[in-house]
This record gives sequence, structure tokens and C-alpha cells, in this order.
Amino acid sequence: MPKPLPLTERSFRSRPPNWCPGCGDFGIWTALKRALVTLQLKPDQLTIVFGIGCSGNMVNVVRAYGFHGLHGRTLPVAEGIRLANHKLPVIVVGGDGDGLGEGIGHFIHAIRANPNVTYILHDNQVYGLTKGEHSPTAPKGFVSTTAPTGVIEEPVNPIGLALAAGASFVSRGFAGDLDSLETLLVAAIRHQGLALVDVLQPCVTFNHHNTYLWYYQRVYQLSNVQHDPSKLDLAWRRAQEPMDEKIPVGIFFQTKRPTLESQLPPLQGGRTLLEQQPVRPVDISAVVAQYQ
Amino acid sequence: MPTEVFNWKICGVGGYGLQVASSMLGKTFLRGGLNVQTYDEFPSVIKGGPATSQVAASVAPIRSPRQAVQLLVCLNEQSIRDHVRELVPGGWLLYDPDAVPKPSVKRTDLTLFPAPLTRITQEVKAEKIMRNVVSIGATLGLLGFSTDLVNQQLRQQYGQKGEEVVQENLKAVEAGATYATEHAPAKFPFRLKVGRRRQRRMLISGNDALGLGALAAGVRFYAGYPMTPSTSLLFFMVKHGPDFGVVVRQLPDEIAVINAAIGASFAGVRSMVATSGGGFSLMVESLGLAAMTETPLVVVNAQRPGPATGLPTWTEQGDLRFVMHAAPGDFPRVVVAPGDVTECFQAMSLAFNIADRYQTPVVVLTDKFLGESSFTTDAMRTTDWRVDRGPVVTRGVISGEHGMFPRYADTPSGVSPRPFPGTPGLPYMANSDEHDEFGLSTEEASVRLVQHAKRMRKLTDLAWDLPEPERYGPTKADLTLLSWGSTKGPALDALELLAAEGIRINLIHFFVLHPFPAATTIKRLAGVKRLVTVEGNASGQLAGLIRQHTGLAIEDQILRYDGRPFEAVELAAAVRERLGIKRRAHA
Ligand SMILES: Cc1ncc(C[n+]2csc(CCOP(=O)(O)OP(=O)(O)O)c2C)c(N)n1
Ligand code: SF4
Repeated sequence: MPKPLPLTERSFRSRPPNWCPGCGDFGIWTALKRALVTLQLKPDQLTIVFGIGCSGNMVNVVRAYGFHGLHGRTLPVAEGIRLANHKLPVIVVGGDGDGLGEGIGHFIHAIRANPNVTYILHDNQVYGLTKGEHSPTAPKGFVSTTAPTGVIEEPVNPIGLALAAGASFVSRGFAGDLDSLETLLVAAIRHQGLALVDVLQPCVTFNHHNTYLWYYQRVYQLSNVQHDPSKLDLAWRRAQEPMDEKIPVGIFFQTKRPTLESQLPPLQGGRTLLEQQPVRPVDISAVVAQYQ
Repeated sequence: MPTEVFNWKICGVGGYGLQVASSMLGKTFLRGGLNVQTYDEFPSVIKGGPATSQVAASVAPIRSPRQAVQLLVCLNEQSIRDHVRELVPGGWLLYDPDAVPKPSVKRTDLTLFPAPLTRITQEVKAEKIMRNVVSIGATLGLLGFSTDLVNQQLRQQYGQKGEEVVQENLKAVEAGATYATEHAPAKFPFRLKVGRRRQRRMLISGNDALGLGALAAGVRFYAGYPMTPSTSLLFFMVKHGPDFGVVVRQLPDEIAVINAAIGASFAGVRSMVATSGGGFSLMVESLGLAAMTETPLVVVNAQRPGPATGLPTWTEQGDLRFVMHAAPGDFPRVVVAPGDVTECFQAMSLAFNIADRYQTPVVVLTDKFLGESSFTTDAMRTTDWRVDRGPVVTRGVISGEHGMFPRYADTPSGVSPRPFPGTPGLPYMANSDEHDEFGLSTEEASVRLVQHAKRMRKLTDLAWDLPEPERYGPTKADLTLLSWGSTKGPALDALELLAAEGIRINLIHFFVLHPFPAATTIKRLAGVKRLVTVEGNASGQLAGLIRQHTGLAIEDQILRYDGRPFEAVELAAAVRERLGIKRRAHA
């Protein structure tokens, strides 16, 4: 037997990326791989569910078990995987259009159910893959290819939305700060329950407003200020800070809530559903008798 | 013989416990050794609105509801007006004089039996809702049935709720029976021969039969969102799933439902969902996702009349073309439509095995009539069953410069071995984008061609792996009916009615609709004298399929799309008319 190679970032590489040079997705990709190395999670010991978008195209540059589903439908797939095999860590990677446009219903309901899933939301205010239309997080007035005179709607605030839905882990990261993002991802993956990591992700091609520089001028770490992530009211206050002034990143809120998996009787015996999958027909005579 | 059918119908409004009554009476008849068929009609509201429930009992097999009623139980005035015409000449109307002091019945060929159901409930200190149970007692009294049979049945139905509930029901039944024996205005003209209880018989609805089949086939994940007429399957799963280690989830919409099932199946467990046409519409894109990622999936579509919300609590067979073609692009899928409760049960074994073996979605098409009516059948067994998970690997060779597992390797059959995520050393991507053998996205024409052809190639083996259309009745016949799905019951009953008159017709019934069994169909239809399709939709969807695959245009189509199932007596009349045969005088 050859000695297994030590786990490094390279262990998670499949093909080279083809994001636009400078895209924030590079930062998230790198931070994720580093977090997995830190956690010593091997490529065959986890599953990543990808959305459809530039962000979801990470499917082609990560070596792991993965599922690249439909636009907006990552979270139900992730829940299904967790229920079938709750020993398998599941990470979701998707865009803000994916998760907060098509998928906003799943976002709220998955948070309510609290499966043990890490949700990395690439927040770039645009639909990158379809060429720069505004996404639900684009601020009012944001000019995009399909809003030439500015977006009419108020933006979705993913942090506030997650808090309101009762999320057990609510955080924001920045793709331009690899070290902090890695630390944040490690904490999110370790968290028991649905962990939201809303990652500010510059789209260098279509979003000329929320640039790296724009973020560098505003982002600050919650760990550097008086913030207690166990306090919901403090998290609320931080979540309301206007983005164009100061932008807090880090863990807004974390609490212990029973996970979905821990509340389903068939999953409590120490074996996963997969391990319990019958390989022979099941005896149903007790139920049949009720119809006799 | 079907002419020896005793048809009992209870009418009132939703919330009167009509279905409870008919299931109680049905079980009692079953335990009396009879064949039973129950059928409910109710509006899409919870309380109020006209509703009926009927129980047909017969010594001979009975597979479909009858319109002609022998004993009509009416709990309110409106239902007398609506249903009294359904009584056969000499039929009996049992009504509650406390609710209907002066029923206006113009027919003079009936016997009216005022049975004070409300007063009797008061006498036995039961709630007024128990009128339904008293009426069962009265029915048994008229028929001269022993109430022992109900006794056993009540114990089975309410045993868990405690002896008190059982006794309360029993008292109501007995009071009803006594009243009927003492006060019947005449000798009850209808007799049912009670046989010995046949141990191996059961009375079950199509939806419950699907649920039983799924449990037996080892389903591990079930997700649903309520939609009539699929909801009773969700209830079944909620009730029994946990005892069998099944995770049952009601999720917030059908898109979540199907995607969660796809996730669970990708991760390795047998997964299924059930819905009706509207919910299926929401699942459409994901159906293609299952096929593209080659994830096994079983989807039940219990049809109701569309389009849109349609007639929520009624029946139709209008979704055949829809489920065959739903989702963009071409991909292999299987569509089966069970014709009776036994086929519902068997269909689940087939569906799970085929889904696993071919790693693609299987749609099981039922409808309100089959799904929510109950039928008598032999107790379900799994004697000749096996669980076939298809090619699953726990070891394999990784390749490519990235060292991933070629999960979508091109194979002669089109099916490639799959590892479940978490299997040591075989990482791969399941990808909704067109992909290479590792599951990585590609837009290369050559790879697209290989992968698309690989998926579509599954249809070749599939065609051999599925049951063929069955013929019922004589080989040589003056007329041949063609049907699919739930129409089998009424069609078979019509065959028997006609056979009793010496009219020789037969039936070719389709269980598998897609991939369409073209070769067998051509063989079966060769030399047939006269063909008539019978289906519950407005456009003749089966007839269209037959024409598409065989070139044969069947012009003579009996179509029904008023929300009601076919009726054997009407079908028989339609056949007689076509053969120019006058009906013999009613025996
Ligand atoms: C049902 C459906 N509608 C639309 C699309 C087209 N589409 C693909 S990606 C995308 C938007 C992606 O934006 P986002 O999720 O923000 O991801 P990004 O590309 O910005 O990372 C759209 C609209 C699709 N694939 N499926
Ligand atoms: S379009 Fe934007 S999000 Fe997409 S790869 Fe380019 S920079 Fe990244």
C-alpha cells in the first residue's frame, strides 16, 4: 500500500478555474480548500452541493464528491443528502441569485429545519453567469444590464433574513480577506446546524460599484469590536448597518439549536439511513393485517 | 355475478363521517367473505357541500363502482333529492326523520324506511355524528347480518383508542340493528350470502397499496407536499414510515420535495415522492435533473382533472402525455400506470428496481379513482420480490489527471456503476450541466454525443425489462377494448357483464406506457376485429400513442372527462350499441 499523501490544497484540485481573472470566487475557492485542510476533511469524506452560476461552476475545480443541481435548488438537495447519510459533512456553494432569487423559499425553510449544512452564499449583487443582471442583493438604484435606470426594489438582506428565520449560525465573510474567511469557514463547518456564510464577492466584470477597493474601505471584523455573537439583539443591530458606510464581517450570531437530523427517530440509532437501507424485501405483514 | 351486487350508498354533506361509515361497512362485508369495492365523492371543502360514499358487495369479484343503488341512506334532505333516482326499482331509502320530517319522493317503486338515527344516537348517549354508525347497524339488521363481524372490525379500527370508544360504537351499531329488525316496514328484498371469512383477503385503496409496496421495497426517504388525491399516501407514510425506519418529510413545496428526494437518492437510499398534476408541474425541471445526474427516483402522480387546480377531488387520466414528455430535452424515463390495487403494490417493487437498475426516474401514474377507492384483493405478499440496487461500487479505479472516479463511464448498456458519496477514494461530481465521465462540465460536442447517447441507450434494455400489455377475456372476440391505468377495473367488469349475456369481447390493458411496448402492441392488435379505446381524458392520449408507435389509427374512442370513473354498466351498454345488440330484459 502506498502511503497516503498528506492532505493539502492540491488534494482538492480537479481542473483549473476559468473565472474572470480577479473574480472573488477565487478567494472563496482557496479559503474553502484551506478550511478543509485545516479540518482534515478529505475529498471523499464530504459532499459539496453547487448552485448554478459562476459560483456554482466551482463544481469543475474542486475534487470531492459533489452535486451540481438546478438553479436555486441547492438546499433541498443538501437536506436530502444529510438525511440519507448524516455522517457526511455537506457544504453548499451558490450565488445570491441562486439562493435569494429562485431559492429564497428554500433559504427560509432550510434555516427553519436546521440541517447540519454549511451554506456559502457568493454575494456579488449580480447574476454573473448570465451577464450582469442585478441580483436580489443589489442595492436600490443599482444600475445593471436589465436595470439601466437603476433597480427599483430594496435589496434582500441575507443576514437579517437568516436571523429572522431563526438561523443558528449567521455570518458574513469577504472574498478579499482569505485568512479571515478561512477561519470563518472552519467555524461554520464545525457548527452543528445550518451555518450561513454570506460572502462579499467582488464580480470584477459586471459589478463596478462593489469593488475590492470599495470593500477594503468599509469592511471591519466583528471580532475587533464589542460584539457578542450569542446576543440576538446585537446581531440585529449589526445586520442593519448601512452597507455603503461600514460593513461588519465575522460571526453575527451563533446559538445551539437541535439539528433536523437529531430530531428524526430513524436517525437516532447510530446508523445512517444508508446503512439501514434494506437489501431484501421488507416484511409488511403487520400492516397488511390492518386491511384484513 | 356482477348482477348480484349489493350497492349501499350513504349521502349527506362533508363532515358527516360518510367515509368512516363506508370503510366500516366495507370491512364488515369483507370479513363476511364478500368482495367489496368502495367509492367516495366529495367536494373540495372540509365541512358542508354534498358528499357520498358507497360500498358495493358481491360474491363475485367487483372492481368498479356501480350507479344503481339497492339501499340508499340519506342524512339530509338535499341528498334525497339528488340521489333517489339512483335506486333500483324496489330499492330502499333509509332516512333520518329527525333530519327530514317529510321527504318528497315521487317514485312509487321504492320502500321508504324512516329510521330515527338522531334519536337513536341520543338514546345510546352518543354524539350526533354517530348517526353514520347507527345506519350501519340498521343496514346489518336489514340484511340479517350478525353484528359480531362489526365487533371484530371495531376492535381492529378503534382498539388503540381504548375499549370505551369500541363500546360506544358497538352500542350504536347494535341499537341501529335492533331498530331495523323491529321496525322495518317490509321484508328487506336484498340478501347477501355471507361466506366464510377468507383469511388471505384484504380491502385497500390504491394509495395505501402504493405505500405498502414502497415499504416492502425498502423505501428509506419519502417527501411530500399535500395535494389531493396523493395526500392519503403521505398520511400512510407518516403513519407507518417511522415503524419501518423511513424518514418522512413534509416539505414546503414540490420543488423542495423532489430535490430532497434526489439528494437522498444520490446519497444512496431509496427515495420517492408523490403528488398530483399541479405539484408534478413544479417538479418538472427536477425530473430532468434526476435523469441528467443518473439518480434513481420514483415519482407518483395521482391524477385529477386539470388544467390548473381543476377538479381537486375528482378523477381523470389526463396527464399521460404530460408525464411522458415533462422536462426539457430527451432522457430515458419509465411511465407505468397500475390498473388495480395489486398492480399498485407490485408497481413499487418494479419502480424502485428499475429506477436503481437504470439510474433514471420512474413515474407511477394513478388517479383519484384508483388511489382513494378501496378494492378487495388477495393479501399482498413479496414472495417473488427482490431488491435490485443496480450497479453500485465500493471500489474502483480513479483516473484523469485529477484522480476522480469515472462515474459516467460509457458502457454498452448506458448504465455505469455508481459509488455513494462518502465511499473511500472515488470522488466524482453529479452534474446537471452536460458533463464528462467524471461529471465535470463540458461543452465538447464529442463528449456531449457520447454522454447523451449513453443515457438514451438505457431505453434499449429497458424495453425488454418491463411487463407487456395483458389481454383479458377470450383470444377471439367481436370487439376489443383498449385501456390503461385505473380503467382496467370498470373494463373488466363490463367484460364480465357482457360475457354473461354471451357477448364475446376482450380487453388489452397497458400497464407500461413509456417506453411504449410497440412490438407487442402490433402483435396483439393483428387480426383484431374491432378496436375501441377507453380512457379518462378528452384527447384520447393512449389512442394517440398507439397511432404514433404502430401507425394504427383507432377512431372509435370512449372518452370520459367529467371527473367520474367509468361505469361498467355504461361501458357494457356502449359495447352492445356498437355491436348492434339490444339489451335483454332485466333479469
Ligand atoms: C431555472 C433557471 N432559470 C434561469 C437560469 C439561467 N441562469 C443561470 S445562472 C443564473 C444567475 C446566476 O446568478 P447567481 O446565482 O447570482 O450566481 P453568479 O453567477 O453570480 O455566481 C441564471 C439566471 C437557469 N439556469 N435556470
Ligand atoms: S462574471 Fe463576475 S462572478 Fe462571474 S466569473 Fe466573472 S467576475 Fe466572477
